[in-house]
Amino acid sequence: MQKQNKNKELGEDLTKLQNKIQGLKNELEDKNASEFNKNQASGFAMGMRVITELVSGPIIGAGIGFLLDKLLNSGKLFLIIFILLGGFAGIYNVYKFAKSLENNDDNTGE
Amino acid sequence: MSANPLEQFEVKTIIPIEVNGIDISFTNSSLFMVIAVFLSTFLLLLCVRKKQVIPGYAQSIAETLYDFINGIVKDNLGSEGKKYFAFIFTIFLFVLTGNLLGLMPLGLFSLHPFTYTSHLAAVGTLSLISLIFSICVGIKHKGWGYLHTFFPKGIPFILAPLIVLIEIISFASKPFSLTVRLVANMIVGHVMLDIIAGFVLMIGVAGAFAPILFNSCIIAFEFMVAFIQAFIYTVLTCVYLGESLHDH
Repeated sequence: MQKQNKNKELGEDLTKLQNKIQGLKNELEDKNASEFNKNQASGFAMGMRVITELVSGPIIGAGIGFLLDKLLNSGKLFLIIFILLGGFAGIYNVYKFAKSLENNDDNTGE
Repeated sequence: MSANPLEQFEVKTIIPIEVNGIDISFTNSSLFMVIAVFLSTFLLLLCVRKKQVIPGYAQSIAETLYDFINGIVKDNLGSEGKKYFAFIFTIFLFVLTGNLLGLMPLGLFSLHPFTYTSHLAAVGTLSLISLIFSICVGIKHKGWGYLHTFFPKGIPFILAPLIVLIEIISFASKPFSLTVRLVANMIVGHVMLDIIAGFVLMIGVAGAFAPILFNSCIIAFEFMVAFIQAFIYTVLTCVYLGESLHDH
């Protein structure tokens, strides 16, 4: 009689455990799904970031060069120098960004 | 419908104010910003009017919004980012409401719709505010070490003049790229809507199935763009804030 009760208790515990595991599994799946969506959206965000950063470097450089030229009355000297530097800055930004992506991948891969 | 598709972006003075020769008039742009602030606050308060453990429809909208932004903040700023949640949430709501208000058919209420997120001045100021905020946060966290933003560790000293200049330009281009991305997207969308609506008038409303259909598609697309651009603006504000919080 006692043994039967014990078996019954054990069976109940097992079903409880099973339900719990299933619940956790579902939760994990939901989480993965939402993460996938987020990744897609932020992928779009990152693409936009690369485009505008490439463009905005030279533009800001040109702005700084133009202002310096006006301030120092130096013809087009600083405009040329700073447009080039701005181009470097744009590419450098994208390089830094790509590097940070690589680091993130390494971290999640481990 | 105006003949000039750029006429919708004109800033018109409503209440002229001038202080010391500086024009700080209350314009239609300011009007829409005020509307956006009141509308977003009012709607959110309305949503969480009844606080329940199991949320109803309205409350779950507010909670989804909270979770969404909380996720962005957590991903980009980590656990330290909790402090700056309010700032990021405000920026997101302000940009999103601005984008959406511009798409609303407010002309029906004799109020010409105006998208303040399509103006360099408005969005640029917002970006500058977030830049200054991230500088303050960086200095608070790192002290003098913040200057390493302009001269990263591990670079030979001989390259200093070049690297410092490049870093300064790349730093200054951050708010610019943030601004241009949002503004360009908004302007393009609205101009396109206006031009194609102009086609409808040219052909005559009765025969213009194609432009009306096309415009309906574009308006749906513009609603999506309004959300995505607000999201991108928020994510990148977070990223830039994160760069001044953490070392790279």
